[in-house]
Amino acid sequence: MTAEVQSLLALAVVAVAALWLARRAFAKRKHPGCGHDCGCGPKLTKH
Amino acid sequence: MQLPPHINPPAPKRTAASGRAPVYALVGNPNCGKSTLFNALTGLKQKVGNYPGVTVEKKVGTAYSQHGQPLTVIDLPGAYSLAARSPDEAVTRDVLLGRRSDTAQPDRILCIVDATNLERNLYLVHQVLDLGRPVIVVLNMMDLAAEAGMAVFPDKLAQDLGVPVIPCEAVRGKGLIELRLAMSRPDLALSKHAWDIPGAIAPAVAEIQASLVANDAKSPLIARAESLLLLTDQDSVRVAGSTPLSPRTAEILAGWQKRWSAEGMDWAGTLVSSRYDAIGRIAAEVVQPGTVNQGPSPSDRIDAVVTHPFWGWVSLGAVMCLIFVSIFTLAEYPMNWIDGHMASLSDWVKDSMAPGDLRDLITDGAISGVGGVVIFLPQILILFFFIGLLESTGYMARAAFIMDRLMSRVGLNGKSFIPLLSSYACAIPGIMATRTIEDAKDRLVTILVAPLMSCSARLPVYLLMIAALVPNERVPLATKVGIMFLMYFLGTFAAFGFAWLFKRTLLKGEPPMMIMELPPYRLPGLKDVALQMLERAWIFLRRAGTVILGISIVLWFLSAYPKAPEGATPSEQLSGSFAGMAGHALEPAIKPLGFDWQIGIGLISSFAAREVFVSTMGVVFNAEADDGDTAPLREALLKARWPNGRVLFTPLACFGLMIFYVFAMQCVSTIAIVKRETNGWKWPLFQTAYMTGTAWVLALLVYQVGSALGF
Amino acid sequence: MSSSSPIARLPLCQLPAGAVGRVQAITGDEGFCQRLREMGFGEAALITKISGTTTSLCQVNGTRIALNHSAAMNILVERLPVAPHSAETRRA
Repeated sequence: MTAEVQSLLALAVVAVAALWLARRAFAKRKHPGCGHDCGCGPKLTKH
Repeated sequence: MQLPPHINPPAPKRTAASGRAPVYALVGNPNCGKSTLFNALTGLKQKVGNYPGVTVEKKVGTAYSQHGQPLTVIDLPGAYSLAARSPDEAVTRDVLLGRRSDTAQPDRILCIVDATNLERNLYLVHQVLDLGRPVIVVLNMMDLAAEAGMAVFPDKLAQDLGVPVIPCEAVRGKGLIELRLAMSRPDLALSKHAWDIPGAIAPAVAEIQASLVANDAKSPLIARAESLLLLTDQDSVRVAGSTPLSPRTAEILAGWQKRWSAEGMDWAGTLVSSRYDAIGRIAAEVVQPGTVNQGPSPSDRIDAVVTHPFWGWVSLGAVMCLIFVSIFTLAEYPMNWIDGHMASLSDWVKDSMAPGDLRDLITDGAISGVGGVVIFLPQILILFFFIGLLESTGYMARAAFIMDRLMSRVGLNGKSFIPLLSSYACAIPGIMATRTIEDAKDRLVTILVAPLMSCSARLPVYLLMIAALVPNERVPLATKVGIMFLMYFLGTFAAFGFAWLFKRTLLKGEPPMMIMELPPYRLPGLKDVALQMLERAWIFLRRAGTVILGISIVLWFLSAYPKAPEGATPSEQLSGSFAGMAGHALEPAIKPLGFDWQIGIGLISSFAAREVFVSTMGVVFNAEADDGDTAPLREALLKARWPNGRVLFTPLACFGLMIFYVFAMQCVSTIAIVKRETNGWKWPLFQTAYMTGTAWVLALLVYQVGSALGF
Repeated sequence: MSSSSPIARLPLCQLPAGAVGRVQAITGDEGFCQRLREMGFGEAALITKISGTTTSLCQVNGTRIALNHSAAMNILVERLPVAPHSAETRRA
């Protein structure tokens, strides 16, 4: 795998991660809760 | 099913006849063995959620009838009475009365009763029977009653109450088959129990009942139970998500209360005592108290020590020491194991892939970020194990008792200690545990100071800093435990200090009255504790695999882009990256604390969650490791330098950083739960400001005074 | 509430450890009084004081109950000449 292909793949992974985090933060606002942590709040998969 | 003539049968959709399996609600006094029975009935088929708007846990499980038909069971919070005094009791009351839109009124009710303390437990049963729902009474702890020399007659109780009574030993699983059989019955008789409402109150009950039927669309039986309740509800606890009374009913109620107050009649006391009269008659028939004088029980003997004014403190101190020493010693082997495997995984990736961005993303981003957090799993599990153990043996209430004197000095009572102790594991269950505190101001003060107790997410930061602070392997364990203890002490001391301050300024109030039951000691329910630990481990790993993985990947990008020109050192690359820019922007604010822009990156990224600091340091400093192998983070930190060549992680800076993390509100989840609990942004913002402000000031003091003293 | 009883009463916090008392009156916050009564700590209840002057530990009807100082001050009891741990007051 060349360095260019690796860079492209890495950027794609980063974009997916960033989008997922953003969506998660947004979804949280739609369902105000306690952050789904430490056993609190409904399971995130429901959104 | 024989109904009294004045009552309409309940709406058909609620009965089992419609084909839908009936929904059971599990109610009972605190410490009656309700959770054990719930676990025994539902096993692992549980779903833990929340009642919208309140931080009260909603536990729903699936039990199976003797014919394999699934039955929904809702575990309601423990309550002494339906006249709620705290938010969790209010949830129990509102679900049973069908006042909550998010939870349908249960079809049938399982009342768990502690056979050793029948009279008090029957008070709640008596109120529940008024609701006119089919009830099954579970007479739990029959073994303990027998040990105490008491004879309890379930058949007599069943006859008196007119409902099925199942004797049971939930801990040993005895009586579960009989209970399942009873739960599987297609129809259950309604209670025939009758008791005389005192004559002076009867007209008011009738009028309020009529108004509830006419104005609040309640069925007549529920309306009668609710009108009795409204008369005994002194300052009714309202929780979000519950339907309020109609204005007309509220007006009638206020009218009666005003009239009675003017006449000097104690209506609530009259109602309670007439209930107790009825219960007393039942209990006299059902229970034969032990006649032998047995002398002090094992519980009495243990209590003589652990609630002793001097030995109580000694034992509490010993328990805390044991917990902290265990966290260090027992966790070492699994931690080394995880560390070794993460490092070899990283090396394997490096060997099998050509150099490039994707390889760096996997090793420096994903593996060092997630691995840096997962390594603390053993320690967090040990902490949760001990907290579970303290709860299930009954020692937690003793700790609260011992602490009451200290808590009263700062204007709180012993009950606030249990949320604070739980906050050592995580502030979120801690804040959820405040739901048992009756006084609203006390609850708020406890919520405000709970995140100061060092939670398990701080543990990774402390451990990393302690490792950097005392790098020598031969440093005695006592030094490390001592520093750790100091951090925990500091957080605890600050929590008490701020509670004192808030009770005197913002939230003035008398220290409220406290009544708290100390349950008899029990052998720990290891299955229940293990179940809880499993749940915590899963939550922690899920978090590491999702949020922390995501943050680590994004952080890797922010530290790898924009790309520095060819031939730049890793340090120049980081400095010019997006993360470097943010760190540099923050540096003026944190330089007086002895932190540079690289630590700044850690502070920013860990605002979401404290443990992210460790993974950030992994991403930031592994970028600087110029040899091929993944250097352990500790050594990478020790190599870090200021531009002028000074050591970055001096003992003073490490210490200051730990102090910062003791105080700073670096947890989005806590902010979210406080916002929900206090119904607005005011208190969470205040809390974040006071905590992070204190953190900054104290870290500044440590660094400046320390530097001046030549450390 | 029996407020004009001739018997010497003392607040629960002053009842010596090991002594048995009968609740004569409870005062203070209405909601709190109600909860005391609901937990079986109402008028005429028999209680055995176990320990404590600021935070009191008592045995009522087989249950061990802790009360803080402000609560114990509001519970007036009449001391009874019964030895602790007698079969009548101890059931658990």
